[in-house]
Amino acid sequence: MTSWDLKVLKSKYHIIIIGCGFAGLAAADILTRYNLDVLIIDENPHLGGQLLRKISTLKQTKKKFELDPIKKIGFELARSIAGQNIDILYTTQVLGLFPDHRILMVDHSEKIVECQGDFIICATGAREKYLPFKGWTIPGVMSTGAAQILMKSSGVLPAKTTLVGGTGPLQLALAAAILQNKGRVSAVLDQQNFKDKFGILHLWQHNLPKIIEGAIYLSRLFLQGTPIRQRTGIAEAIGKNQLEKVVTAQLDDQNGFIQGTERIYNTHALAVGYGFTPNIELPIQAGCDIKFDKKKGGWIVCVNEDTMETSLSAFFAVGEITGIAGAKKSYIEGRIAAWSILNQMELVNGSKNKANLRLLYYQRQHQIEYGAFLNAMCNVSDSAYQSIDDDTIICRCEEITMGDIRKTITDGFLTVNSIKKTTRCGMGLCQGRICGPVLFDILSGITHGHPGQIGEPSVRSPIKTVPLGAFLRANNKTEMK
Amino acid sequence: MVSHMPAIVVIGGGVIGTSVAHYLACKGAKVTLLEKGDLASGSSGACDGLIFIQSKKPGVHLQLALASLELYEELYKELPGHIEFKKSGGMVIFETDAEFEAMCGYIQDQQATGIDVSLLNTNQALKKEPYLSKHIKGATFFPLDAQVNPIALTLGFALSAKQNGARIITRTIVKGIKIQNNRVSSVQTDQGDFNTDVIINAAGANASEIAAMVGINIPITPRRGQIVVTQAVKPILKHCLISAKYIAAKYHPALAKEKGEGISMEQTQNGNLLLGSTREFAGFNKQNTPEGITRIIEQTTRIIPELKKLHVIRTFAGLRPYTPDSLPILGQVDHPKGFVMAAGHEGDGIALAPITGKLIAQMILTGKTDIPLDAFAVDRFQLQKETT
Repeated sequence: MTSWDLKVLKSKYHIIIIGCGFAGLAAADILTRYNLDVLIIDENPHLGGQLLRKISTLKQTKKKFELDPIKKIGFELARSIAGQNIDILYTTQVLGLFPDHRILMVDHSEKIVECQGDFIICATGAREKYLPFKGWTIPGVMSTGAAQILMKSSGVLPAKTTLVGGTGPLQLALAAAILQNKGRVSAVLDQQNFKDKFGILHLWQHNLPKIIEGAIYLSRLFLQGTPIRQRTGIAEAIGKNQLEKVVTAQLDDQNGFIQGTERIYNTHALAVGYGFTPNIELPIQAGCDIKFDKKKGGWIVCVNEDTMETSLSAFFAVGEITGIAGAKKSYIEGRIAAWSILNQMELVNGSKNKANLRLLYYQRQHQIEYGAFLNAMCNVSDSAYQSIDDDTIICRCEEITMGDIRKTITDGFLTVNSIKKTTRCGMGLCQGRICGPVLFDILSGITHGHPGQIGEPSVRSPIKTVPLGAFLRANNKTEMK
Repeated sequence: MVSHMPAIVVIGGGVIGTSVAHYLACKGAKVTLLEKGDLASGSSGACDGLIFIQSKKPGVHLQLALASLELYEELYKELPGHIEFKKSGGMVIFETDAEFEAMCGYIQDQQATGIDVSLLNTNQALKKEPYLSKHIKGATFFPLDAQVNPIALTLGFALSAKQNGARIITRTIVKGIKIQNNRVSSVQTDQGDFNTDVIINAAGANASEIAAMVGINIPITPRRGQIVVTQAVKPILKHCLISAKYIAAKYHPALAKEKGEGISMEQTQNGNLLLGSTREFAGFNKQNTPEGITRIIEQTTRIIPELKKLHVIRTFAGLRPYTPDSLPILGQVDHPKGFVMAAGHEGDGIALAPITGKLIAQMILTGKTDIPLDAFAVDRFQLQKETT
């Protein structure tokens, strides 16, 4: 039953799925066939995660043709699961996982709720990464994802004319989407060489829809005469209360700006993206082992790849948090985790299960290759972090600048945690969600230290902020004053 | 002790270890500080910054605290960086008549030792601290209670020590201690050996482990203190607050049996409120628990209802080095020579760090201390054992 009413929440479930994007959906799809108590928790008001953000409005509009079959599968899954006899908590934020698989969360009415699961599947996805530049905090500068959400959810263009920059293939998709929505794109800037993107052609057998999609985007840009400027970065965003103009420049081999190549774009919107970082806050807080793997997008959760179980027993991690590679890998890993759990519960025939899994392992391998390509595309080189200007703000909440951080590094503080303590970088309201990965990359770029030396990210509950009053409204308290 | 300038190794980069290093280095001593993680990565980076004087037991404990407070006045100007020292004044809040009665006796003891603690009724307390709940029964007030930023303090001590020639070596794990002729001779670490004449055990909750390396059994055990941090907001609290239960939990076991261990509250210079603290024996487990967090929030929001609207942005827990009599273990041990204790401050580490550093440095370099350390000797526990 789809429910906003927590009275129906059981205190214990067989399986709790945290995050219901593609990975969570895929797991739920299998698990719901076995008459188990399943609870889905998602911070969004809909299922399907980032890719299916539009699902709520899609019900009313006529069916749209989707080139990539994965999206169609996702839409159908999300619809079918939302209609099943399982508990779903929308707009609910998990605050932490505690011993005995107790999950503490805060619901849409800002009330703390607790429940327990025999098995937990963590599928919390990824978020965007940033490369700070002068003026990146001015209103009008937004992430590629934020610009996409504006158009997808609200049908609003970022501005009449948008400048798109950063790394990775997503700027193309965004620029094409802006054009399709009758907006204008002043240019698409790419920190890297554009020709590297053709590297995907080597992976054509398993990624044909993506290649065709890319070709369509490119042709759309071409038809509109939108320039694509490669090896070009953003030097500065300028504006008082609103973005007014953006200075860009070509990059030399060291990723420094080449003097004399500056261009000025008069624009009210700048959308930038530099790839993704896994949302591993919950697994870290819970105590799962993590490791650094650049090819997989940075710090990821360690799993037994045959089962997706983490270092914590009966706690599974699937999707982007085990390596950034997009929806298909998430979909496959969600299924692997579901079959592994059913196997542990002795609800499936062992040999049949093995056959299911073998096919999934094979399919996943190709998606991991695609992921490595994607992450290489989005990669920002060390020298780009070295050349961040001293005045540039790194921690938006506490207003810590690159100069503050550079000075602290010179003083001999070489770890993320020591710099956090010295400068307060990452101690603000966003809990370091934005600047945490940036600080890691800065340190790694400047000191060339080993990821383990620079320091694993550390996370404490609550994983997202919550009013103190929510703890007083907890539903399972008997002796409240 | 040693006629020439001795080589000294301080084990532990928390507030006590860095304070000792600072006071030694300022006198020109050859100091090496070894820390297994980062500076302030243990309890000193996971605590509040209260320098509460009125909560100290009258006697030598209070004497230490007052001497420490005096040092803060200098440190605040001398140490590099900004340690955010502020004499905000402190209030102990009573919520019940029983607490009120217990505290009246306590105040008389304090006043008898010359500590000018005043008693406020509900209205007077509300006038001083307008966001207090009207249900409180009253409060005590002491103008000299203060607060500091414990991390900035630790880093300030360390930087000052470094500027005065000390070596600060982090990410180095002490594996063993070599003894020759009944004297410490070197500290063995995963980064090599450090020859030394004197070793100062300032390893906080891990001090027992270090002492065991020279065959000494000390009763320091970790006691977990969980703390809740709110978002930064405009000033809500003018003073540092603790609930009467906090003192009761320390000195009046009968009151401590009631639910909750008593709480403390302060607003940092940055505007965040630090709400603490649990006092739990959970081994070396530094996890926060939903029960611990909820207990702190229930008690603090009851005293300052305005807090309900604020967001929790973080929780953390530190392991306070607990001793059975709530006093630190300070000074030279009988055997081996050159092994000095500076640990076991439990929740008083921040308040007592400056005086601890100063006295330990005096003892090592001159053999004499401004305040006698006898009451803090490690053998007090052995003596107790023998008499019971």
